[in-house]
Amino acid sequence: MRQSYPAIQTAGATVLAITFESQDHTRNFIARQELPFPFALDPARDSYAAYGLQRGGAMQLSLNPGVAAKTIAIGLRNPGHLAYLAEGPQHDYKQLGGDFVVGPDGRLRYAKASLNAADFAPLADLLAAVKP
Amino acid sequence: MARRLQVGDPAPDFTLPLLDGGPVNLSDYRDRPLILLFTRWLG
Repeated sequence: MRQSYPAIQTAGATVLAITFESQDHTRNFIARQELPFPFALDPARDSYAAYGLQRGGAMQLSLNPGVAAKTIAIGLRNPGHLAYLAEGPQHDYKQLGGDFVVGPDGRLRYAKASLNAADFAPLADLLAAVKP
Repeated sequence: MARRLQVGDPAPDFTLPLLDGGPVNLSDYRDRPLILLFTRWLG
């Protein structure tokens, strides 16, 4: 998303991320990934519930080949990732995310609840939804 | 748990604290389209 941010700005949109993770963990993640957009914190996940985002099951997490491959790839690039997983329940790896585009009228132009931990909205779809 | 949202639905409002301080409301973003990213775990 870091590389995509200029294209998003050029398209006239802004970005807000919402996370259930802790303040410190989020801050470290942002620094590692060099993310340029703001993060809001929702440890209670009330906004996740309002947007219909659920926790995944085994198939969506560990038994999904795409998720397993991504987890291994991340682990090879970032040893801290495996330590993260080993930290246990304070990091809820079952919580699924989602990507939405909200128009100035307050209505959804795009809505994608992730089907698994490796499922993200394509940038092209987000940019198409941003256009008037 | 809310039903799965669809294009055209009103986006549910929220008021949350920003990591860098201060509250943020969905209604703060009425001047331009907003890409709203809900994260999974930040590994």
